[in-house]
Amino acid sequence: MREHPAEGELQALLDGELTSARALVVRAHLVRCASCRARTNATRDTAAMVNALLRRSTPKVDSASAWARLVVRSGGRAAKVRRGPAQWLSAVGLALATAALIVMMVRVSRSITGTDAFALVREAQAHPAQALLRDACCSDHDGGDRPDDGLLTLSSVGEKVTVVIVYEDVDRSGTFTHGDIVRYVSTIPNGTPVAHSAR
Amino acid sequence: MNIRRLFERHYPSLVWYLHGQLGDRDLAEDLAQEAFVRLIDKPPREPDSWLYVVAGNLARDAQRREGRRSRHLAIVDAEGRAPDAPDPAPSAEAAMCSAEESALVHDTLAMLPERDAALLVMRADEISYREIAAAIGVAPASVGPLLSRAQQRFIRALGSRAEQRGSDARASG
Ligand SMILES: [Zn+2]
Repeated sequence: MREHPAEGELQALLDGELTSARALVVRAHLVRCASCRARTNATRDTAAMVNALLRRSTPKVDSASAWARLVVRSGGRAAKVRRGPAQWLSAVGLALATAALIVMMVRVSRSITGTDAFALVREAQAHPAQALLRDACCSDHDGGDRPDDGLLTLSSVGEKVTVVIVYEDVDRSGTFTHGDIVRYVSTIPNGTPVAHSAR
Repeated sequence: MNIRRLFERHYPSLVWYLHGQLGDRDLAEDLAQEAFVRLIDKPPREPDSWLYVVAGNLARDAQRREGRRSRHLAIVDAEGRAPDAPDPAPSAEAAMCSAEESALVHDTLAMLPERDAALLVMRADEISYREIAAAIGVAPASVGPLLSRAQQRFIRALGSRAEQRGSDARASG
């Protein structure tokens, strides 16, 4: 090799992306040429710094929520495409995605209707291992002189928030059902005591 | 194809790449999600680089749709016109603390030509030259030289951006 290799070629050499024949030629040149050895070191330092800066600066993404969002957006297909020997694992994965999804639904919805809240509870009931459901029915929270106010809390395993649903037990079933009126839905960080006041 | 593994590996980088292109984090997340939905609809042979190609197309569509001007500034458009910062690399890196650093790196990436930004992010994401080449439409042998130049531009832009921030801070403080 008579000419000095260009920076791009040194870069490819460092990245292990030169053909083996070409890599041999460039390496042979580096043995003989001190200035190209220095350039190679500089190229390596530059690449290392740029890559380190880029990797360090990649934003933190709440990947459980993002994944749950993708599962919803793809109509559940994101979780279904997984195949292979560990198929039983994907069932667990799907259940976990569902748990994250329960919380996500609340996070992404600006206003939650009674139907949404009911769907949320149904989802939790379908996956008892992933969600902790507490339904306290009923007492008189709103001063209406009738013990028809229910308070339901819903937490997903591994999630940091609890969903709180305050409802009026219209059908007097003693539990949250489809016909009940949802008064209030909110989320609280886990560990925060739930205030027993409806509005 | 393991979608979840692809998602874990590339989603943050894709969001970041799109954020750099669009300057809008929510839109970036939305388009990164859309890229994955398309991947699920029609699984490509080489999903790693394919995701970047689709993300780039979605970003351009979004920019066109919203009539947004691309935020690429001319600073590093042509190497000759770049303000000459005398090798800012070591001091620039040493002087930055992490939050500030992330913002600076992000701004710098947004200043670069789209192809440079894509190259750098894909390489940091450890995508092979062959796949990068397919993604940006060049011969594999061109990736090394293009990458090397993109890195130089990035360092220069980072230096001038850091300097600008420094003088902005002095002016306001
Ligand atoms: Zn030489």
